Amino acid sequence: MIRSLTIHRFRGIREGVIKNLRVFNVLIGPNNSGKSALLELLYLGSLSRRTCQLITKTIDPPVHAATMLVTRDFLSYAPTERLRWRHGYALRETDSFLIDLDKEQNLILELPDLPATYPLHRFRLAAEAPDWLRKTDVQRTILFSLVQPDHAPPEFIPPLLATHRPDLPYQRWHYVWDQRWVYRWNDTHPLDRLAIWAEAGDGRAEHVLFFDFHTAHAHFEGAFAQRCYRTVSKWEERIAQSMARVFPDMAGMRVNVKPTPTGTTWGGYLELPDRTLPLEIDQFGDGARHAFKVLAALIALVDRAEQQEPGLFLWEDPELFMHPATLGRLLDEVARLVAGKPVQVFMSTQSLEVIAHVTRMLQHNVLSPEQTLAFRLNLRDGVLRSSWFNRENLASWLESGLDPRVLEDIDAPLQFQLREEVHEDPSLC
Amino acid sequence: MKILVFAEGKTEEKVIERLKQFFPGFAFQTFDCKGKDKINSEIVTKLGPLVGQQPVRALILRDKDSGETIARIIQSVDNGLKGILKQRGINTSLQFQRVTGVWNAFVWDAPSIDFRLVIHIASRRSLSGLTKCTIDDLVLRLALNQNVAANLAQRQSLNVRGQVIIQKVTQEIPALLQRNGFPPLSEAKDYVRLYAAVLRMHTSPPVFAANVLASANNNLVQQNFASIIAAIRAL
Repeated sequence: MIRSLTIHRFRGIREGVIKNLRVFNVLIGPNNSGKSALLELLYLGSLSRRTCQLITKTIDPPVHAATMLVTRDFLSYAPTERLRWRHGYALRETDSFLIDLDKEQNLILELPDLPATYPLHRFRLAAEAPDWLRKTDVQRTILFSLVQPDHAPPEFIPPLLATHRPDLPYQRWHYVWDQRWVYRWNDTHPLDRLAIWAEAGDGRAEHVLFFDFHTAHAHFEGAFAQRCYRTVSKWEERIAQSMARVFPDMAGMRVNVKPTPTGTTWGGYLELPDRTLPLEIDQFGDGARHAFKVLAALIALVDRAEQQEPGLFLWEDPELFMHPATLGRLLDEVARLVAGKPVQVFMSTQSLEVIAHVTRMLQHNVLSPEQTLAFRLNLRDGVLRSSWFNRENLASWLESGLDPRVLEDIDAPLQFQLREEVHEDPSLC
Repeated sequence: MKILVFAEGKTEEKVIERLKQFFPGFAFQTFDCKGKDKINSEIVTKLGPLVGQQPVRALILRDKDSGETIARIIQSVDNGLKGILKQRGINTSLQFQRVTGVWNAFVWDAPSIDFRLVIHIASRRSLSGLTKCTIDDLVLRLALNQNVAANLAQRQSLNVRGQVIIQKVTQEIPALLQRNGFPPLSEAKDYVRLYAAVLRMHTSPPVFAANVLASANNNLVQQNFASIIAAIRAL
């Protein structure tokens, strides 16, 4: 589980330290406060699992144990392309670095903006058999990670990490050079041309599910769906049961996940008791599509996550397309699925209803108060700050009509107030 | 600048509502903590997420019950504040200081985190023989001004002089009750309820307070609530 993050120049975050991360974390804050950036860096960091060696020439020792991005994430997307797609980047950024594959199938990287004498100005990433590097890695490699940062030479350590070094036993440090993910202003140090962050905790996730707006509208990749079909016990049946808890009208339906007409993707099909023809889930409203896909993917993640293979669930805007009542049931179902499982959750939201539901879930122990915190983020002049809210803070604020999302006074047209006594509503659990 | 006010009840809210006109440009948000026992927990849960994140200005309006001392009240709040800072990983070793010129208001100031909190402790009894010092004492004191009493009567369409009302409320009726074996009125709130009953105001003490404040001119309000105004100024 990741317990802290120390961030140097990732996207809009010039520097930031977040501690006290828990099993269930809710990220709230204004637009451009770093919520999505945090999800993306958690995604990238957790997918850096492909063993390799970082080879430099100008320091001793020249070889460091490292990792790089795996080729496919849990949903079988290529990670770098997935993030580029999120931001509308059609192509690889080419201005700030050179990358190629040499005869020994090592990736050679040159970062011309770093001084020529700097170790990371030019370095190689070398993989081991059978996971040799390929031409596709040239397109997709934007990151390496140090697995033994205790041995990192001083030239690899930005000032922020020198002064805010995590003191937890398990750490990994990640380095990104694609400038579209690097904070680009006020460079004063050679490492300011890289995004670098340290995650610390007591172990890393083996399976990472990143669910966002795009995932809700896409079909499943064939490789993901086929793997689930083969390996996730009663996958379709469990999806049907979860969907029925979120949409009671769908009780009794059967779910099939099968290839779409394209052949490369798979879609969900619902056989309702009173209909002879199955309906594709994408013929339903956006809320049902969102719920179906997040539940199908999460059931697969939870199934795979075991004690030795923990999972990480990153969920952006769970409120998307959801009616308030359905939203409550969806959140309850997600909490039910991850309860007691080695799955760490990060959920970013703009919705006061999501926060109110989380508070309700904390008050009724649907979520563990000891293992859940909300973090309000504040990003000013590149400095990320966070303030945590526990169950008592959330309940107190919401019962008084205060909005945890907001730092300054706003002239909102509506004010919400949590009922002081939230009664257990069976339809919400 | 927003000032967060932690009050024992709704009467304080009405008082702040009236006093805020003396502080143009400041916003006030009052939290009814429903009693002194919950003020500390309200401070912790409301202020905790703000500390170290943004400027915080907070005012506590506290009554002093019989048996309580100012020192003990201050210590209790001080413990709560230090608890917040410890919980949020902030090191400081500050103490409350008396607000200059105000003997019953104390300020806790931490410039490094832009946090300032003032506690105002109601410390005057409006009439002799009362056991507590409360916000109702301040309201009652204002209501016992002849002009205010006269204005209140006028609002109720009563053709009675202010002095007569005061005489009834503070002397004749309490004396009558005592002569008939009733225990003496012991709290300002008792007199507030009696006053409201005499004027046929079918209202709660907070609403009575709002009516009293509306019946007093600005000079009188500023005089009567001078210590609270000074406490707010200290923020």
